[in-house]
Amino acid sequence: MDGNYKVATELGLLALVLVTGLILTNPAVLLLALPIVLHVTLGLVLCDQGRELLVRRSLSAHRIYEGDRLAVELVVHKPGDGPDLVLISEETELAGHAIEGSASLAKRILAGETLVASYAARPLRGFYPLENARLCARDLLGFVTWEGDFPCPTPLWVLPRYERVGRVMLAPRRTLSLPGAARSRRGGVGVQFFATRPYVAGDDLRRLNWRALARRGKLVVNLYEEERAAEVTVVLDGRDRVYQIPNGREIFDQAVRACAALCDSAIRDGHRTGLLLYGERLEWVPAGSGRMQSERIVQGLARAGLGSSEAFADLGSLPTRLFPGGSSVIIVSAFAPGDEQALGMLRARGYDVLALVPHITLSHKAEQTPSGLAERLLALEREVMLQVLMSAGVRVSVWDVNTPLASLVKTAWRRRL
Amino acid sequence: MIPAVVPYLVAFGLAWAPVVSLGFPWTLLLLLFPAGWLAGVIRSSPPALTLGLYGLVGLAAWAAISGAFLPGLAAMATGLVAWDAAGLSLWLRRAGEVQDRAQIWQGLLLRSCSLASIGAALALAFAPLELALPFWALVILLLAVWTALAVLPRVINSRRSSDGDPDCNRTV
Repeated sequence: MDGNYKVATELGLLALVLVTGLILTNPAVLLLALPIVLHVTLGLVLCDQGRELLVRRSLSAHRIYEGDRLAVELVVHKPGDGPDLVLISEETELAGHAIEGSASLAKRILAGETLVASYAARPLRGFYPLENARLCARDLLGFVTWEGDFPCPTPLWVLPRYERVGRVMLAPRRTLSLPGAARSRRGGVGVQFFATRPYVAGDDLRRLNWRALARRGKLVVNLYEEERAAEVTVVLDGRDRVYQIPNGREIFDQAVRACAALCDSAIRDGHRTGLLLYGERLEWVPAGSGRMQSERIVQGLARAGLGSSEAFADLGSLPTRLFPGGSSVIIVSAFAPGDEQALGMLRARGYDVLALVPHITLSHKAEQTPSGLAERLLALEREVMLQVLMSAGVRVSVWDVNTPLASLVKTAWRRRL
Repeated sequence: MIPAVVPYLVAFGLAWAPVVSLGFPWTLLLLLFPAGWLAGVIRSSPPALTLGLYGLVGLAAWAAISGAFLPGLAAMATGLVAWDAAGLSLWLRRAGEVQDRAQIWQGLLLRSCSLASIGAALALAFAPLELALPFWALVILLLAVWTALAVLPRVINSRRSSDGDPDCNRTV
């Protein structure tokens, strides 16, 4: 009940009693107005009009991984005059994930006292700006009430929890002049045999091919394939319609985690790695390397969500100008019919394209139901599409999200091409 | 909820008893007021509470007119306590957790009962006073009350500079 409402109600009541008493000229009724008069006037005089409160929010961490426990503390301090009763509440998305304690607490505080509301939460992946804390206050009788948002910005990042995967073998047409883990298709310093050439003065004698010398009687040296850094772009497909499948939301979350794992692997291998979120709009993390880049990418992935837009309805609108020519592009998507053309075009333009298709394998029991049959048909349709992709030269891996991604990377993408 | 309902029921009982004794059978319909009050407290509805308060005050006035001034005055004072308690009850319901609930209620009842008692005592003190006012004085008094009630809300609002927004929006 608002303070103004209360005052207005009592004044209205007072008016009614006074007017009735005067019209009836009844002193008994007029005397009944006295308790109301005193209630309103003394109530307003006695209430504290001050509004000075200090609000602070503290978090146990500003950067956590999904599934981690976060402790939140909201503190209200009343340094001097102020309202008698204070209600502090966290009216953000974070409060919805509370697992312990209460995100809304009321207490009577005197001058110099402090109100502490603490709770624990297990928030979902995302970015929580946590700009304000909601505060409601009133005097004891409720003649003065107010509420407002107190700014206490404490941004929180809940990053995707990802597994560490091994090296993804990349074979882009162009590489950078920096050491890395991608095949450069040129002889030099490395470990993998690449070719042989006639010996020239100054060559390292340890590289002599003794078998060739024995067979041909000429000095021949071994060349090894140079391993260099490459430009890698990881594309996360966030189009709504692609995930309109059973457990679509869970599959998308796993796709986000897979993206984080692949980016981490690429950065660890020394590649310049960028991220493109493709869905409702484009979100682009330009290519880079190092720890800061890793952080930028996981922060980008933390905010990734599903969405739809007319402009990005199919993969044909992928902004290829953002991908350096001849670089590697890793696309993580559940894919929809028609996407094979866009990926084929990418491959035709000379990109090294890898596609990771997350999915959940249906149990045998689920397959027997009518919806299970429909899902099997969809799966067959997708399988045909993936066959088309593979024949176009795209390296496709289907990943059951209930199995570790690391084992898939090890078996499917670790092989030398 | 109990501190918001019990004082109302007591106040209603005090005001209703003299009215029922007048012998009008339809006074049983007045029992709808406590029912409405209860519904207002349960459903957090200020309009229902307002209706309940107005009904109670009307009944207290009727009791006073019928000659039962003391029960009417007691009903008025107790009704104001119930009104304060209902307001607090509604406000506390917004909180997920309340610390020192008993202390809060104790503070409210103490303050509210004190104000109501002072008002009732003052009314009792003025009760033996007899004033003979001519008609024109009554009209002037009525106009004065009208003007005061029109001006008072503006004065109160100007004192409370911005109801709804905290002034000292500071953080540490």
